[in-house]
Amino acid sequence: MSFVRLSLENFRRFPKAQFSFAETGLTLILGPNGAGKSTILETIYLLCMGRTPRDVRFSSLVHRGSTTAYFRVEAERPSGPGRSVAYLNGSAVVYHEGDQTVRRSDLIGKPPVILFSADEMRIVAGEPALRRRMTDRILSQERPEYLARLKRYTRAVEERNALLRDDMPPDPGSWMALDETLAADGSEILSARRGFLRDVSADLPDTLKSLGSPHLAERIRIEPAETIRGEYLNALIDARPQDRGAGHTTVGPHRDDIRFWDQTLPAAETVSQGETRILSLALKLIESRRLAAVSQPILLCDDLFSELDGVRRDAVTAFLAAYPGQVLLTSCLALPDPLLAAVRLTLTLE
Amino acid sequence: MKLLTHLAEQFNKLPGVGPKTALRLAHHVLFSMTPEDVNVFAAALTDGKRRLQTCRTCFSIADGDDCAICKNPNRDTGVILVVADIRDLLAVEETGMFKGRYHVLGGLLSPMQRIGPDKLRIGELRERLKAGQVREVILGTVPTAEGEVTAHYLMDKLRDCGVKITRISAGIPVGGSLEYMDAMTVTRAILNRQDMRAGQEQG
Ligand SMILES: [Zn+2]
Repeated sequence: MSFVRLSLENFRRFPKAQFSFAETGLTLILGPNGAGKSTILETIYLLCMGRTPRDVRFSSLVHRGSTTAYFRVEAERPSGPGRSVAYLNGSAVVYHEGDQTVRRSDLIGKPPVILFSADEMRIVAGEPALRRRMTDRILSQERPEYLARLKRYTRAVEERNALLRDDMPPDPGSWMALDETLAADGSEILSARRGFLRDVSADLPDTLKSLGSPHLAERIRIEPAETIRGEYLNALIDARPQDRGAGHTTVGPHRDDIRFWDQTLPAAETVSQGETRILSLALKLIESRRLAAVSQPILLCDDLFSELDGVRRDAVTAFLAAYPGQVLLTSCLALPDPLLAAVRLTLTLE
Repeated sequence: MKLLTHLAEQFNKLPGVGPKTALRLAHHVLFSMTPEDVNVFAAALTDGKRRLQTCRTCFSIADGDDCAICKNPNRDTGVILVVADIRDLLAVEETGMFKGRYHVLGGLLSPMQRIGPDKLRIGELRERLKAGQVREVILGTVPTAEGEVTAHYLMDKLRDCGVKITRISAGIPVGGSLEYMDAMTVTRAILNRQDMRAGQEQG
């Protein structure tokens, strides 16, 4: 699946604008910094994920010079339900597929998108939320029921936190019922994440080799962080005094993490900047292969080549040039010739 | 102007009606409806509120002490479906598949909305179960976070009543209300209910 035309109204730096993309293969988006290249990728991301890559407030997306607090973006598909629309209504965004209003959760993964950006390159050493988001993003796009369960779990955590913050001592029956609800959904989420991690671990060595880094393939392992010891419900019950003190739930999937190991040491402490990028890139390639099993993802590459050195540029060029789906690539650099040869359409912003 | 804004404010108090819609509705009442239509509309509101009674047994809507379902001798007194509110009851009734009786809790447990067990009709449900005629109680709360919490709570509180406890299987996707499910989904959820005690032993 792909989008062939994008219309922006009152969005970021565009009072009104229209862009066309190649249905498959590479569309190159050129222009100086601040011309709105990333905005185009951000819009596609919003239409496919129901949020922006950096989770900014929707109201901040409105064009600065606008007198109304309103934006509207629309993308046209070559086939299927026609167009996808998102517009601001108050502080929320309303989504349409064709002529139907759809919920955010019905949007996700149709089609899947994968963003290659500088932010995403911090996955190894960045904050745990980045790694949780990677896992949740992929599993949610693969399986709607994972997303539904995650939403229900998140809501149950909020309910439990409200109970913890009450001035009155929590009612024991309600507390137990909440812990049982959290444990039921939480253990499903954790086991889905473990399965995901096993798959990624199995794919990682070969992917790293394909990126010209056989030495990293030998060294790096990925493991779930041991956030929960023993049985989950018992862990929740054990954590009650500390949770009541903290005023929030301290154990569970919302605190989960992934550890990258470099042999026996945490990889965050040992790998170089360049190696971090290769690892991040390898994870992105695994993400795109996985999601392709559901539906060919749209690749959004934000200034990807400024992050890469020679060998990696060749490997990524080969990957993008041969990619069977839609690729939107922004750049303000000169690109490798083999990549330029694969470009189907070029947009130049001013 | 005062007339219009005052009426709009009243509509604005209704769930799901924002200021813009409220103004549109108020405008419609004042400028498009006939005086007769307005009288019928107003009477439905005041009469409805004045004559509304809840069934003394199941807390559904009733004309007198008892609701039509509790009065109906053809409804099985041995099975009780527990629902959060009257809207869920109506969704199940629409399917025509359920032949037992109901118990309307009056909400779902939610610390965020300050709804504790004392706000729900749980003691009344225990009394009904203890009276001895009931074989099975089906926990029919929706599969949202609050619906699940309420089901877990009830399972624990009803355990000693000596009645089989089952839970509707609506499964995931979640977040919906029975109100929005179609007839097939509701029917399937009731038919596919699971024995909570059996589930617990396995777990
Ligand atoms: Zn009744």
